[in-house]
Amino acid sequence: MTQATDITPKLAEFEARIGRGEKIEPGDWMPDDYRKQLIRMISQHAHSEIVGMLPEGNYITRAPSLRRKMVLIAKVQDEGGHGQYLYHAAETLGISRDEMEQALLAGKAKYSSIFNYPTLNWADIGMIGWLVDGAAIKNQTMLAHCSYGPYSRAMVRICAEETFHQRQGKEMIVKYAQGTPNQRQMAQDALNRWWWPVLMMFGPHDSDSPNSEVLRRWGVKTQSNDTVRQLFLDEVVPELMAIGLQIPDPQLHFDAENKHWKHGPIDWAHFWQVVKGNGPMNKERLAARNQAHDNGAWVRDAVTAYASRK
Amino acid sequence: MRYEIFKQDAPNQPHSNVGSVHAPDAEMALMHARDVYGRRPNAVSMWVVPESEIYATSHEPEAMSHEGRTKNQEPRTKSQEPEAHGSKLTAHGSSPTSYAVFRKTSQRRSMTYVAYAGTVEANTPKDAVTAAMHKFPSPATFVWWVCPEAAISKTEAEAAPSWFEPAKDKVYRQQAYYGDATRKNRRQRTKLVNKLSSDETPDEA
Amino acid sequence: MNANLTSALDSRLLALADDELILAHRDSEWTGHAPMIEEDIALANIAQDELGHATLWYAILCDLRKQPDEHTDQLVYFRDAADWRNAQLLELPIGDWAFTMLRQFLFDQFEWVLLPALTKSSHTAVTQAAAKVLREEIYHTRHSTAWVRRLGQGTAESHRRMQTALDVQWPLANQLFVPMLGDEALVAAGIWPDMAPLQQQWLAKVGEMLAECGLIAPASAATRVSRASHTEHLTALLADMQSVARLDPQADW
Repeated sequence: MTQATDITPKLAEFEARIGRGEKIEPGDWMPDDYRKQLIRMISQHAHSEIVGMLPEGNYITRAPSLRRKMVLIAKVQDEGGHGQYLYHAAETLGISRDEMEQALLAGKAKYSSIFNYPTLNWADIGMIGWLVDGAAIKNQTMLAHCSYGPYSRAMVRICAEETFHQRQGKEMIVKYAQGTPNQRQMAQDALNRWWWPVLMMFGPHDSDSPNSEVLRRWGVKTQSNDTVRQLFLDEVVPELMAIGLQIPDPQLHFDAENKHWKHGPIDWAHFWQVVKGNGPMNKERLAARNQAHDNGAWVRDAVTAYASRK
Repeated sequence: MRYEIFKQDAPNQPHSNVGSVHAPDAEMALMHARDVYGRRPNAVSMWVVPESEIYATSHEPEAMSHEGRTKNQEPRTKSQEPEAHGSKLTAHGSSPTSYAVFRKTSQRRSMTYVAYAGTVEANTPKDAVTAAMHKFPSPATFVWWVCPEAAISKTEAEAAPSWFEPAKDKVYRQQAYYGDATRKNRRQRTKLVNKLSSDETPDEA
Repeated sequence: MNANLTSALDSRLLALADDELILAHRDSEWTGHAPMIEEDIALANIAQDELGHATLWYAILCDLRKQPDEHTDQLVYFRDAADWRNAQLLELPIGDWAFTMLRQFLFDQFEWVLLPALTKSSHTAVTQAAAKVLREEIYHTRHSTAWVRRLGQGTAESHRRMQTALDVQWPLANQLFVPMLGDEALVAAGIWPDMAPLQQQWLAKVGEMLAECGLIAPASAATRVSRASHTEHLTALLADMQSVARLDPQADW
């Protein structure tokens, strides 16, 4: 919120800098609202990476070959690393990691709802890699152009690292869709459950997205939710069809005039229920994070005590 | 405690700030830095510095004063005002101290925030910045960071193979390792797997 | 290599590979649940390394058995508990952070004395693999040593937890060094080192750290049982680890 008139020239210069394609850095002047929106977005993004370790981590012990096991550990590890990059980016805006962590543990912070769904069969791991990470990469590629330097840099690093996440998932699903009847059935079952939550990952339709306009003006989000969703749809629909999987949307069709794939109506009531904490796994995810934190308390005390005596 | 991490990608490149880790002490911070920022094969050395030891100034000095900050943004991030950084930094006091200088030289999108420029001798961090401006006049600099050289903990050169080389063998972190089951991709994968299992030449030619 | 030597080397390689694999499996269970995010990342890294080491040893084993590399997945996913040769120490559940760090330390120190000896093996594949594994162990040893030192000397609680872990692990650690059938022939051929002097080196190294931390090695009798003997924890571990692979044994995953 701009509170004083003498801010205006600064605001003008700030917007001019963004217009020139300059990056805003931690010490630079920025409107309060810019700072707040970025803290909101980056911390949510960081929490998503951390909570995002859980659904896939669930299958590390069961990965069915040593190669898959190795890849899955590396992938879930990367998510922890990405959470770390993002907490760092948020910290440069003046919020501490402790504050962010406390908000998450107390259930006050949001994270991507996609991680509130359970992983029920092994092919879910492939589907998450291909579709969930594929969707995330679309968003993150956009955010790599974001006007805030630390967020942009974190995104560039994350995008570069995540391409393998998406590739390994796609490799699995392509293989399973053409594999044994069991594998085909697992892949189809996974697609049935993940398809709609993945489309919801891009957020509400543009007409229902209150923050979008100011975020676009300040170069934070440079493309709208629906635009990015469309990019994703046009990419994955033909690929899923090519390997013989059925997309669980009877109204899905190709709009020959606009050359775009069009999906049926998204169940936003369900989406908001999950956002509000009533998804299938919200409570379990939060409980797992709290348990890790609580079980680690004596460890953190011990290393602090040791360091203070040195 | 929060430590800023500086990573060097090749022997002839400067250490650049890549992020931070939280750690109880410098030894743990160095190990965390390796695990968090060295998972991909492009590090030869890392430095860690407690953020409380870093004094930062920007080209927009007025932005550093209270009016540019939200009220909950007291200098728990970098100490940005000479009077705000407390006794810890000025304790280096009367006899000249060697300061490491880092700077940011681009306003455009860049993967580098501040990178190492060299050292200066000074009595206070503020003087160190002034000295740095004289010693490193070009290119144009938008952010200066200085810290006592003694506050930097570094990975040991002899440990580098153990700390950083193994990342090169983790080829499954690279997208080229995966195919869409086409023949070309299978060939690539075989090549990478062969590389993985050959012992002595993990380097890309 | 004659049949006796081959069979003896087969046993040693299988034991070492199984050790690394089971430890990697246990370590990987922390991913997402560690006391600090930085350690989620660190332990996942160590788990990948140990898994990589297991793969190296299994690959030499496959060569020895004139089997293709895919034989490794058969060994890991379709072998029952009675045929595993890992030490019991490594199959125990992860416990708390003290338990995991102490186990990692004891095993890292085991590798720290074994690997330099293996780099002098007359068997070239073993020599090369040992050199590669040793390089990564330098970092592992540093990590687990740092943790044992901090937990052993941190707070009264962390010290107590370390002592509790040591009471359980100490007698079992002996199993890492128990003789296996055919050892003498391997030693004579310069393929595998004599484990007895290595155990003395290990005791000296580990003893130093325990003393620094004021941790007391329990007097309870050391486990003498062979590596063919397991706890019920291995059965549970394998049931979980092999569950997806066994859903469809014909499938290529």
